[in-house]
Amino acid sequence: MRNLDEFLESLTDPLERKLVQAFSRLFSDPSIPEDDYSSRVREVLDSLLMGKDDETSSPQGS
Amino acid sequence: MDADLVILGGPNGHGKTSLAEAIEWLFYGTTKRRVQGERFSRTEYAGTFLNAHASGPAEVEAEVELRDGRRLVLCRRTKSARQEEAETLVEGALSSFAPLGLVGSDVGYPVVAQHGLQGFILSRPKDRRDAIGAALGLEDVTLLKNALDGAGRAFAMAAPTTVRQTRTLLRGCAQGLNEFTETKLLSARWAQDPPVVQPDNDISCLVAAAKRLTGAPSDVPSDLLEPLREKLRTVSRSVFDDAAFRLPADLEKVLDELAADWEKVRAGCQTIAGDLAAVAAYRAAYLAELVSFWKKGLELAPAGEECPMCEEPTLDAGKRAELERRIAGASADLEHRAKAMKEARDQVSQLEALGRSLVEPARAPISDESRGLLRGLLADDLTALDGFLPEYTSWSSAVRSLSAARDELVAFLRSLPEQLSSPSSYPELVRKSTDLPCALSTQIGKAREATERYAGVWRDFEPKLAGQVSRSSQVAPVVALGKSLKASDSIKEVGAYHDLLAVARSVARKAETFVQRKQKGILDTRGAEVVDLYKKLNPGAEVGFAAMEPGNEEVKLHATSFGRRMSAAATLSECQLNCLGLSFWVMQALVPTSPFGFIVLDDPVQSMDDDHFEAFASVLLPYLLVDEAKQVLLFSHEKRLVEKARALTVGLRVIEYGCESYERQGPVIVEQARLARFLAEVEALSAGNEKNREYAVARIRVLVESVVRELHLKVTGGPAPPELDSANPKQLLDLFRSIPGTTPAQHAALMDTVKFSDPSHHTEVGYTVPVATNIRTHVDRMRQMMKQFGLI
Repeated sequence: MRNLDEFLESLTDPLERKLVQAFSRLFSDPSIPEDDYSSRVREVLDSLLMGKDDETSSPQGS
Repeated sequence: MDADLVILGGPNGHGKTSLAEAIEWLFYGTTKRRVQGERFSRTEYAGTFLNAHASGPAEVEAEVELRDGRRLVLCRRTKSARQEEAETLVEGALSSFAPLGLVGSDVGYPVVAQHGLQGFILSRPKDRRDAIGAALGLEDVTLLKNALDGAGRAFAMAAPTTVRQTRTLLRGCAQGLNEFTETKLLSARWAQDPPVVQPDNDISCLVAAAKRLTGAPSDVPSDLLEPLREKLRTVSRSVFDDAAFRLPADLEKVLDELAADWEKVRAGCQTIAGDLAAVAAYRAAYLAELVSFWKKGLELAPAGEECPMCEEPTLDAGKRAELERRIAGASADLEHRAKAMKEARDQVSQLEALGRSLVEPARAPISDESRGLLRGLLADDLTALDGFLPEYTSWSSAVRSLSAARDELVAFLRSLPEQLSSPSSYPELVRKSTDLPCALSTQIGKAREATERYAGVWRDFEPKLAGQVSRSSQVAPVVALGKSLKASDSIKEVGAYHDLLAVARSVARKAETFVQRKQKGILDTRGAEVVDLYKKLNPGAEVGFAAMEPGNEEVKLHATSFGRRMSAAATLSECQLNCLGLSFWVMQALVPTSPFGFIVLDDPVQSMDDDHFEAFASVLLPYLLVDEAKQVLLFSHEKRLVEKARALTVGLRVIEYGCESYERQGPVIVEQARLARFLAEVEALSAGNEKNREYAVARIRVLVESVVRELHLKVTGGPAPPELDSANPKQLLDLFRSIPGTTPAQHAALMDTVKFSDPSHHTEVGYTVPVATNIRTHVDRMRQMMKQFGLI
């Protein structure tokens, strides 16, 4: 099991889990460079604030 | 490279590191050097994976053996000569390496590069933590933590637009809300930068204040807005009542209706005027007829006292007809009167409504008191006030004139019944019936024109006046309350923003805790391995690396100096730091879950003194090959290391290559077959002239020494003792005899060749240079012996 998955399992707050799940998708996408992770996570935060589900705001699209 | 130990020797700049990085690129699609470099400058490192000396794409291909014994050809190549984007192929078909377990993780990273040995040591503690975390398989959570830190900072520093706007609004309302008991505490929080928002509590406080202020019973913010507006209007009027200045909200419609209504009224007035003219005309005709009647009566009457109106038979047929004509005429007159009065009543009701929303409320001239209030309110913008007042005066005057003309017409129409009973007023009635509507029409036109002009002026002035009124101490709190209440949803959004920010920070904290906990657990074992590897390179040293200690966003590297703990980065020598770096990266390559069975050591003995060099070659290298059963690809420019490595061939398959040159196409790498070449050289010399044959004999002596030393290395695992560096023939033969596995027959044969090539014979009287066949006898012997020992 990846450490990220193990970390995700340790979280119970739905919002916290959504954030980590969104990052997990970023991390699994080899086309996204590490340097872009912060800005992508920022986009996820914006989407969550606007009430969009993180599934639809993921870099892969819905 | 199909061997347990692959040695690649060669001078610096001959392509050894290029080969190591090619292996790195094949499996990872990048290199540590590239990743590190791009942190400083993407531009500088762009394009370094392209093929610099050929027109085609860059490509690395290798046949690998999997754990299950399958052999597959893996390839990575750039998609074109100009694109660094690459694709991977397995057995010639486009395919990811992931199904083979090669997922690009730092765990088990097999290439220990010369340029990256100390990178994690001499870096910021956080970067060191990240590098070590990645090496220990914690890269994903470390990257999550870093991404959340960065995103959280950006989210906090540059909040979304809506949040920023709401914050500005709330700060602007803070002072006004300080006036209400219910919102005093809230006001203090909102006055901070940024405002501190407690959505549910704040909205409850706002609702409570609004309910008390307006008397409205609802707890729903939106239900309280209209009562608050009414309250605001009341309070605003107490500061300055601008009702006289205000225009109807639907001014255009009002003006259109005024025109349309006026058209109807004017048509009615024309009817009235016609009827009144008819009544007046009849009255004039009637009077003429009456005079005529009286005159005729006087003519009919006899002279004297006879009354012309008596019952004498004077009403002949002609007279009767005339009377009937008069009665009919009088009836028509009555009809006109009745019609005119009805029309007048109708028009009065219409006229009273005509332009009501324009002329009401009364557009009175500005009183001195109002003028003074305005000057006080607009003290900062008297120019605007001075521009406005004349326009209002002009407009209000036009509207009042319209109102007066309308009222005069209404009064006229209302007085018609009374005035019609007085025939003497008929001419005046007829005149007014046309003059008054005409005057009203004129005033309507003027008022319309003035209104349209004033509307533009009021549009500019109204917000200035409203702004000043709303800033007044009586109005501002109500405005603040209304704005805040209206922004209830935005307040909730700001709350959600803070919650989200807190969540991001919370996850980052938890990730850090997770990484630390994991690091501690892993370092307890893997860290001990690093120390153990370091000790292999530094046996018995009193000064050296001691431990790794994970902390908050850092990993400390401790050294000990005669039992005293200190910072490793700050105190260890260059050589010791290299040993530490080497130990760490080797530990990473030795992680049991690594998918790689090999390790590439690219110039691993940088800055090492003799003791460390010896420890590396005689302890660490065998440890990797034998204890860890790793295939080792050893690249080095150190001839000593190559020699030492060659000594580790006991039971191992070894291939040695050399970088002979570096040309435009890349490094020229050839397999080293030194003894075979040596043998061929001697054989060629033996076929030559006397001088050549004499030299061939001398070279046989050197060949024998090389064979003995190589065999000693191969069999015993170590080079010949240093005291035999300049061995005489007897010492050489003793060394040969001491090598396990050599036979007496071989001892005798080699002694014969040694004697044959011994230079001491050459000075003896009668010595002649051997012929070719004699020399070849020894060459063949040496060839046979070398084959027996597996040296060629």
